[in-house]
Amino acid sequence: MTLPVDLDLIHNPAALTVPPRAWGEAIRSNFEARLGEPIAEMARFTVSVPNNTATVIGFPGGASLDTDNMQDPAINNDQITAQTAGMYLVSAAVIFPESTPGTAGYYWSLRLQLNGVDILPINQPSISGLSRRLGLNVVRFVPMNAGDYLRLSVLQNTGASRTASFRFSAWRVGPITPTTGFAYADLDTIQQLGFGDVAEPGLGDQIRTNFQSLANRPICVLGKSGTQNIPNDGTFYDATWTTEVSDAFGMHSLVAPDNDTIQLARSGLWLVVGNIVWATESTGTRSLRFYTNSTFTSIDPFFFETLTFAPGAENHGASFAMMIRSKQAEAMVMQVRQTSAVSLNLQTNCQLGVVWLGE
Amino acid sequence: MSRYVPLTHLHDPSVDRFVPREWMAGINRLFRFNRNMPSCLVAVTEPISMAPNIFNTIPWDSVLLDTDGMFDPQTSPTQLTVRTPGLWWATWGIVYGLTSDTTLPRETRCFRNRQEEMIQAVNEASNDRFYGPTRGFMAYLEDGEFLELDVWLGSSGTSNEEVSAPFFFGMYLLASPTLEAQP
Repeated sequence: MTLPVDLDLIHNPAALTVPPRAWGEAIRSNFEARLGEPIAEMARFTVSVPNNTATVIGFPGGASLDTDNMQDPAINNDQITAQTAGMYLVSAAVIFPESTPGTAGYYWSLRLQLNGVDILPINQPSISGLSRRLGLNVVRFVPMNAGDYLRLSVLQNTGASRTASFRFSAWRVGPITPTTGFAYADLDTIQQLGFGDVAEPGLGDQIRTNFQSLANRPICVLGKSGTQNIPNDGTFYDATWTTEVSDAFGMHSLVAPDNDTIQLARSGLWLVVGNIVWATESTGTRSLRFYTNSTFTSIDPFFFETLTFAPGAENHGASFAMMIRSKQAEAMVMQVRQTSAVSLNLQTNCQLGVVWLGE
Repeated sequence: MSRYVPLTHLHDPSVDRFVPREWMAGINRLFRFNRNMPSCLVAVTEPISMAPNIFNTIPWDSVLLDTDGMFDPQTSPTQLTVRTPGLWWATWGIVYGLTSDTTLPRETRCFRNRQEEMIQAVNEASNDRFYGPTRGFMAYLEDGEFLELDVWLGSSGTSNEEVSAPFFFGMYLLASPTLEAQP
């Protein structure tokens, strides 16, 4: 991967000066780095998954794109390994075949692993005795150091081996703790192009600042330092967030009652990701929903509620992802409810996160 | 049409020299490109009545963002079409309408060039909750490839069922290593 180059180390055109060759090449290198941020995406089809055996999925066919040597088709091909530390957006998906019978008690589980340890289980039970194709999807922000690796594990208990298809990918969003204060500006505001060949004072500094701004996009990723008890009365409760995995832009407060909310740092296009993991319990339903007071357009806020059933044999999780266009300071909250026989704890691996994608 | 302008196509500063305005214009356009990578976000804002027990393709009735001309409501109201090749993030969410017949589920599938993509979800039908799944995934897509969303509304009868509103479908370009080689 081409590493970003600090333009100031080459040339700081504080006055009307001629930029040297290396300055121009560094600008080009920085753009190439921006377009080649660490990312890897793999897919594999018709994989046999044995009955009732947790199976880590390998990808011997390699990646459709791998800009940072994160996956090796020959060695440990079940791993996406971070070569560059940072916050990664991870997505995993599986589809099980349509012929799979929908028998009570059957379930399918998709688990995301970090360094060999499960960090997020997503489950899907059989539905209404019906043979339908079932699909699971995990989306999560994962802070990673260089050398950390991700894996994808799957489990099904239908009584026989089943064939499934998978996608697995990771994209480095930016630093775990981005640096703030870089004021992006259109270069036209400094120098109207076409007024000569010599760079105006400040143009070089703004080019540098723009690169720094692009490399430090606003992000907020929240977690839990302990469990949160949710009564079994079917009422929706706000999930509260007691750990700020990443919040350099100050979008969240750890002080109750505001610790359930993310307030967006700026207007624009945002990706929102949520994960909920429940304590093990076999009865009732679990719901997860998300709302925002977005008023960017005349369209009502998007609002999703996922209904899932607990397999009972393990922690049960759900995941959502959505893109919204919203204004600065607008709020977003994730809520949960459950109808089991007892009150249940949300586990510490729950997560709510947002990342700014553009204007 | 992609907004990307390869820097080397404008000027390769192989020697110390003044900054030509074409090269500066290229830098500015590249910053704008990176600031707002190709992306598209469309929505359904009004409920849609659809035939049960078959797959129906969702027509999108509203555009919230479209930086690359990826959505054409006149000719292809169901499609998001890639104009810049690369690895894309795609996200959709859907909200199913209420139904008195909850015996059969709702199913959503993502299609790529009318071939089934492996991103899919199944939900129970409900008579009192607006349930719906979301999905997010990455896929390498070439110029001209398109994504669509199909839904299957299960019913024991023949009357139309409903998808509720609002819900969305969005795409965002994450990386594109081939851009530098484009003319």
